[in-house]
Amino acid sequence: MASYHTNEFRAGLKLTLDGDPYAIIENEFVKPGKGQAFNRVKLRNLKTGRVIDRTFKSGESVEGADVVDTDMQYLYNDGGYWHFMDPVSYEQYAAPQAVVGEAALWLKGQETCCLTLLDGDPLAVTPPNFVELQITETDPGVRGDTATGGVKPATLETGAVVKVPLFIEEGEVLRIDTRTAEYVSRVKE
Amino acid sequence: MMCDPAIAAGAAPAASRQAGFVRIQQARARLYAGVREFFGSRDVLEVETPAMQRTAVTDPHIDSVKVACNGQSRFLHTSPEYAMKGLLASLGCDIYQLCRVFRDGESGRFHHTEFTMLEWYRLHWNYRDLMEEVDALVRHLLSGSLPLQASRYIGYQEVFRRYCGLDPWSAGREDYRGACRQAGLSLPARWSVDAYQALLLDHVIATRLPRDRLVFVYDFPPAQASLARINDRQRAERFELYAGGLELANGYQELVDANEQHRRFEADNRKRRALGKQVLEPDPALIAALERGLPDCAGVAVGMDRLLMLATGVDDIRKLWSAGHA
Repeated sequence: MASYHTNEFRAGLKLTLDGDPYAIIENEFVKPGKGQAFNRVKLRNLKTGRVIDRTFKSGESVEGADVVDTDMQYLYNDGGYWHFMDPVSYEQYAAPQAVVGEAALWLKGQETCCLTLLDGDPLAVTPPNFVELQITETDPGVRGDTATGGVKPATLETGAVVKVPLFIEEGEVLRIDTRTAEYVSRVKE
Repeated sequence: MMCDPAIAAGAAPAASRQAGFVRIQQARARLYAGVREFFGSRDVLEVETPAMQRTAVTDPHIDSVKVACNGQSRFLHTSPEYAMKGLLASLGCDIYQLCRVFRDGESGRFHHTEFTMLEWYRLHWNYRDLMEEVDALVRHLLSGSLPLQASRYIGYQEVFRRYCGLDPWSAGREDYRGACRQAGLSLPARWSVDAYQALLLDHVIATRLPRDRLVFVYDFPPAQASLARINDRQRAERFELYAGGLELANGYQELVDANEQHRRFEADNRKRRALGKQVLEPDPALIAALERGLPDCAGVAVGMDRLLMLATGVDDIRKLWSAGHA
């Protein structure tokens, strides 16, 4: 894997630090008028999501990380692994629970997800920003109560629980924002 | 029309950005007028020296922009220092210059590849007196835009003791490393004492200094003398000015000893070689001036763009250079 000079540092660049893959969030060049220049860098650990700060002397090189984001179709879950397919190469990838993480809450099949691959292995799964899922269980709707802003929990077909307005009925299909786990609207069938 | 910020203020974002940029240009013009007024009343001569040079600065941490001109390769000056010292030797009077300088690879919130430098020299002055003149000038330029309390003058040793809890004249690498860690700076490698000192001064101490006043830090370690004279007490007679967390100026009791200057050039080139950078020949104009006899003098450079940031409250230097930089 190529290594990157500090003057190539920019947001989004993937680096290997202490054996873990990181993505640069922010890179600040700082330098006294006379003397050594530095890059103060904010990075996200792509395995744990943890954000760290590192200071490099300008001119240092850091090993890159072979990390790529690819759109893939979610196929099925065999109980242990979630299976995805690259729609271009038809190549299939299996991601364990630890990698799929919270994305599992929103996937029922056929969705196009973003798979982050490290050296060809799934590292993280990002679900689509919006998914449409049916309610399997919620308290009966309250007619006419569309203005008070009250909410109740509703269980979706994937098992996820979201807060919905009181007027929503069991069996309805909802549009959900997966980034915030929030109800957006009803979907008319 | 676009010159009136009041008209553009309520308009589309692009128009209000444009109005902000017009205000910045106006503040810049006022700043330069203030500089000329200040030195005019003090009998310091405004001069100009060529921006294109045959030789590049040997400072291992400053990279020159290379240009091609008339089929020859030239370097854009990174500071007018060498050329002004040449002039100083031949003119024999106090001089100042406001000019655009260029530094390759320097770009960020507080760095711009090209920026405006104010540099001046006072013959037969002591660097401590020059610090006070810098103080007077900056107060003159910021009066009306930034209220400032009485300035502070703190020795380099004292500033490290007070803000990092270590004595730079006795501390070892582990002490510096500890101070960096304590300040929340995570470092991947073991560095030289020089690098730790630069990092702590620029990133930790500068941000901990009082922000409501100008702070002068003086008497640097000999390893950071650059072009300053080193006195019998092993202090480099050099100062820096900090304001609002930013380094604004850097001044010296100028080195006038030709032999010592040769040694500094050689030391620069040794460092350049160690860093894998090109070894550069010393500037002939400076060597000639020193050999002819450069009078005792003190000199200082002020970053006008950072001063403009303080005067206008702009938080990113790139906003001073383009209306498009939101």
